Amino acid sequence: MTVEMVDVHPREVVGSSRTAGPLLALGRREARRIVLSPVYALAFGLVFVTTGIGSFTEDALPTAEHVYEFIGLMLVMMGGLLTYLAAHLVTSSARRTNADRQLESSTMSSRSRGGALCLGVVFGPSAVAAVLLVVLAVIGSNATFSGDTTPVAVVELVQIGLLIVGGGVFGVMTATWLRFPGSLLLGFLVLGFGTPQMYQPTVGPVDTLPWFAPFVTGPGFADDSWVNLGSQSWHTAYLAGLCCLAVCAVMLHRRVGRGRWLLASGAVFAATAFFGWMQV
Amino acid sequence: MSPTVVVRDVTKRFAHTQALAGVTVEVSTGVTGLLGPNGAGKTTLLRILATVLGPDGGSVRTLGLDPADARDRTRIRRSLGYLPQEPGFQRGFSVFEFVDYVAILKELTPARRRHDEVRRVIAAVDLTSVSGKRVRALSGGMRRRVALAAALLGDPQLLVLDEPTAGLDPEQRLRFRELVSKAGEGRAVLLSTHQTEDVAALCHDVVVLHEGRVLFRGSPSDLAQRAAGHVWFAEDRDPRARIAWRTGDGAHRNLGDPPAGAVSVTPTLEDGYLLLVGARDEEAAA
Repeated sequence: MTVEMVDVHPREVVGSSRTAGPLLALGRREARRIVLSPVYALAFGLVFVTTGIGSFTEDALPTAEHVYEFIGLMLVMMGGLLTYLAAHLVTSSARRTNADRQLESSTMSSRSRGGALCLGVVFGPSAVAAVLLVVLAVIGSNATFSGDTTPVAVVELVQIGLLIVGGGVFGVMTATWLRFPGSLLLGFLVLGFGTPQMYQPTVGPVDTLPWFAPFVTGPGFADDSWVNLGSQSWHTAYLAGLCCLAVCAVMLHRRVGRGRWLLASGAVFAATAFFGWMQV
Repeated sequence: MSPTVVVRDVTKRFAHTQALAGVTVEVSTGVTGLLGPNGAGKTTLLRILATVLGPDGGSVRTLGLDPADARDRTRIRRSLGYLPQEPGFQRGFSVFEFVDYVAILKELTPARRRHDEVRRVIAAVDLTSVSGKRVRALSGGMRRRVALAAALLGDPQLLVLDEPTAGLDPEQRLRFRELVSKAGEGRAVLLSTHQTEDVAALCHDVVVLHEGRVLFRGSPSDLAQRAAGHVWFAEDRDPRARIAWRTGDGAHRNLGDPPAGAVSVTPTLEDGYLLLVGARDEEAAA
């Protein structure tokens, strides 16, 4: 039995909490953990097997329209929910496995860790979704569709991306604040069933976005003008505001230094409420 | 040389339980053992020293810094390694990934040097051959070594180990003892344990906690000497003995006030500890 203590001087590598390096490094690590969550593989695999193969085999090879529909449907209907589940599971994993006991005395604060998880949502599933949305945009602008499929506008693609970011940061927020085993299911029920309950199906294009914030739809919602009342752009800003609010909630969990985050949260809340009012 | 940790009159209460009732302890370079029965306040004291808990009263100075101050606390954490009583590991992490994850949380940068440091501590606990294996697939002893590797990151000046050998088989315990002994060279190690043999083998100083108070502080030999003249062998259990047990060769080892004519034997640290704690329990009962 031999034990070797290697003679190096690791104290030199201890960084400073004032630099963004550790935060970005942790963000990248969390992004990897979220993307590699078995939730995605299970769900996408199941959907692909049950729907994808069936639709492809009808025409032997998938057409651009098939691919467009499949990716679009997956992102809209499942992207947010799955990212919620993956982000929640990663955030709560330290608590569920008692690993947090070792992490409590680390240099990085719980607020920074929460921030890194939010970054992980952006760097990971949202980045993957962004690539897929670009693919959708390219297909949408080049392919010829039958009458059943309507290409989605660019602003709506951005909204889909925000739904996925929103699902992820909502998962981080839920796991951060509701530190009990049922919080995963509770948040899932709120997302999965709560928002459709508040959903008012009124106009065509928005009924493809039944998750997260569809309850704010109104007759003028489909107006594509950039700054007009009821435009898609205001709705996009509103979704971005909701994402930022969830991030603020994560930051507010730690008591130390809460003051400036309360101020920031107030400003984000006011802006989000304004966007919400403008979009309807 | 000034002590690494100075604890003065520290108190801590949880609801109706007084976990610490005025503890004064100093920890200096080398391995200091912390002994005490369950519920003595050992883990609470270690969590306070690990800056995870704050005391209700008294003062703590670690490396000359005040853990109550946020900036000082961060500086202390940069020089601190903490191995909790029951370390947990996230699912899916390999040994390298877990230690690297903790290294990121300890803000070790940049990535290449962090990875060098992770490899260094994994080598230090002799786990290089399994660094790619999932932590959950390892034995209990190996997992404890993974947790110790994480605690050794950044070459901390203070190492706080909470019952690191609990539940380990004799070979794993000896292996761990060797690691802790190496770790105690040039740094302060506070080792909480129920294993008096570990304290006797490793520690230059021992603190006995009982019901949130310090019962004893001194060298292991001083603690053993507390039982000098109070340990004797007899054919049967002596009714005057506070504690007695039948040994493998059939004789009874008795601890307490010996009868006239009894031949005392050399006491062990365990004898001193048992008499000390036993006497306090009897006083409390009276």
